[in-house]
Amino acid sequence: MSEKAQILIIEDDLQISQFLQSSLKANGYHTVLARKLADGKSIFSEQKPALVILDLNLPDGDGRSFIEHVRISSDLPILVLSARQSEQEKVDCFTLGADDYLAKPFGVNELLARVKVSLKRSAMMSLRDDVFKLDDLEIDTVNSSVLLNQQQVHLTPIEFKLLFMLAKKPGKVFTHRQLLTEVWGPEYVDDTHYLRIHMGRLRARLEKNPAAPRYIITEAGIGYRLSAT
Amino acid sequence: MKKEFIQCFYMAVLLVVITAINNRFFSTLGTTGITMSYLLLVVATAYFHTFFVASSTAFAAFFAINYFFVIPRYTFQVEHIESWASLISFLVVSLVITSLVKRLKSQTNQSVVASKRAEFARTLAENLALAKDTNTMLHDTCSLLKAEFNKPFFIAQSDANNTYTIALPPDYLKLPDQNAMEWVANNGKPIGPYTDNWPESPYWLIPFNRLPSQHPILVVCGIDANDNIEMYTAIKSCIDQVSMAYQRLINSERARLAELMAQEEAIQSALLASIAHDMRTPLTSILGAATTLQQRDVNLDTEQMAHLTALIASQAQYLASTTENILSLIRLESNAVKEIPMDLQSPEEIIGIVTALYKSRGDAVDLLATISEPDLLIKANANLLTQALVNLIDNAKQANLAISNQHQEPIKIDVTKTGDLINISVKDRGIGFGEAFNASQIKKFSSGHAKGFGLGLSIVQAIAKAHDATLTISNQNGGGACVTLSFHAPDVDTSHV
Repeated sequence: MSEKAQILIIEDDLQISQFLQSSLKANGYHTVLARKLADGKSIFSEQKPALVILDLNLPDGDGRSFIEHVRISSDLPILVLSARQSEQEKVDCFTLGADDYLAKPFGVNELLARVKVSLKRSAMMSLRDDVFKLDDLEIDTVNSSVLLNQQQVHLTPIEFKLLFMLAKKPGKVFTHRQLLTEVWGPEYVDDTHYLRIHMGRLRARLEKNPAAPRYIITEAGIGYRLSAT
Repeated sequence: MKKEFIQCFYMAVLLVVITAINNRFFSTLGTTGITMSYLLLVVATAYFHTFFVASSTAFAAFFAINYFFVIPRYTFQVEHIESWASLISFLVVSLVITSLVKRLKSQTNQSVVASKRAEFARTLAENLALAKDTNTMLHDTCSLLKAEFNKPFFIAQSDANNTYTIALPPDYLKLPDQNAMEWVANNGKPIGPYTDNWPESPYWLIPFNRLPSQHPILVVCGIDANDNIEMYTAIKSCIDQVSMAYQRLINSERARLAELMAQEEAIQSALLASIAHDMRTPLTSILGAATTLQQRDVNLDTEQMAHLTALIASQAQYLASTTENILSLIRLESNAVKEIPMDLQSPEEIIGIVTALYKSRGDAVDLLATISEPDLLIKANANLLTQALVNLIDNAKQANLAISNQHQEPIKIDVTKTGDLINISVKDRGIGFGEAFNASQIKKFSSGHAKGFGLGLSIVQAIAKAHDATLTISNQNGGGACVTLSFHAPDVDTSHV
């Protein structure tokens, strides 16, 4: 699917949009460009792209309003590109429903890797596959089982909840607040040490080298995601 | 006057007692002895009391001698010329002794006052000599003056609108007439009693500068009839001393600011020179490689093209990271540092982020992380801590490369807890630091390497400062540098988590 996927690029900068189009086309994607937020919204409605690459600073508004607009009706993957690097900006985007965030400047390899992950996640969601598999790790969310090297991994209920939440959308970043609210409850949203410690224990059970994790990826100051590739 | 009558009463009682004793022992003492005993009473009275009391005692003694002991006895008739002579003697003795005692007391008082003033002058001089800033000096001076002269002293200072307000002590709100303050400031002259200006004022306003200026003014309130010219002279003399110290502090403050500005300008010049040199170099490489690739008449083989594109990518990456370092330093040194969001972070996670960062850059780095105990947390900003570790690892990589291009030793990251501190150490096997080098010598743009701004350690130091952490550098046994960031362990109970 990813080989022919159509990607909507919403970016007002000429040079960046040209380089994005060239790189994506060279890697087998169809692209459509919108230079304004309004154009992006109408293309999204008419052409139903497979993924959106979104710049936040647009001449007719803030890109975050596009995320809100899309999330009303669609689970379409949205990859945010921005020169804004504050943690709060990123958290806001993820809370609104963005799937990934790439800070400028970035390399094309990193962009392509993230596009691939988002499209793969989207495809997995459409197949409604309840089993997540990556290398030696297998997570079955229906049967509540986690296998590593085909061996059952014993997890605490909290660790199960955390891992299953990440496994619902592999590759998608879940913010600290989202995880704390979902697993512990809304009164624990500020107790990030709960998350740090349980994630540390989860990594100790699943990762060969917890200091260079393969499965559970930390997004600095934002949250966590399950690696999808 | 009432006090003198009471003293007269006591003397009368004493006189009666002496008279009774003399009467009892008249035959033994004789007229001479009795006269001497009364003379003793007059001398004692003159020493301890005023001339009025002493002369009253002298008259009473004269009448007592004449009435009780001189023939004809029990009459007030004065028969002998010696009796008048004794009266005159008593009066002269009382006058001389009271005068001498008064003078002695006056001299003693003057001596005590002079001694107190000398002690005060010494304390004031010490205070002025040790003062480090003008505000503390003025505040301490006010306290000393108040204790010495038993009056309220205040310092008035002008604001941006040239309006004078009481600055020290801050609890006093009422201020003398603004016009009077302005007159003192504009003329550099004091006003108040015993001065040539506005002597009818109920306060003294004494400027700290004899030239027209906006310098502080001393305000002395509560002046009454007991405050004489000596007091004014003493206060004025103190203020002259304070003025000199004030001018000295102002001048040294100006000199210090000028020196700081010169240092800042030197740093800014170094920054511009570094940016000009170190950013132009990779830009030249990028421009050169890109324009070479653009040339249609130059036939490049696949390997050459790959080399040029790799060069463009690596130089652009270098520019991106150095730009990020400069922005971080500017942010950290601005007020924005107060707004840095801090949260509990796991050192293991931060090392994981760093590893992923190098991987995404396609930049292989061999890290060997050891974490002494699980569940260690530190309060930090994740992005800044990541940047600090990246800078330390970049330095460690360069240090290892300088030793050997072939075999690369792994870079060790040790996380340990010692007492109340959580330490993150980055260790390499390079040449290490010079013996005399320590963390306090880290300066912006003072790289020891041919490439780079030398910003790396400066930023790590700024990040450490923003986290109230300490940066220490040392050399390892067996060679190589060890840079350690020590954070205070957060007050979080993780035992029940």
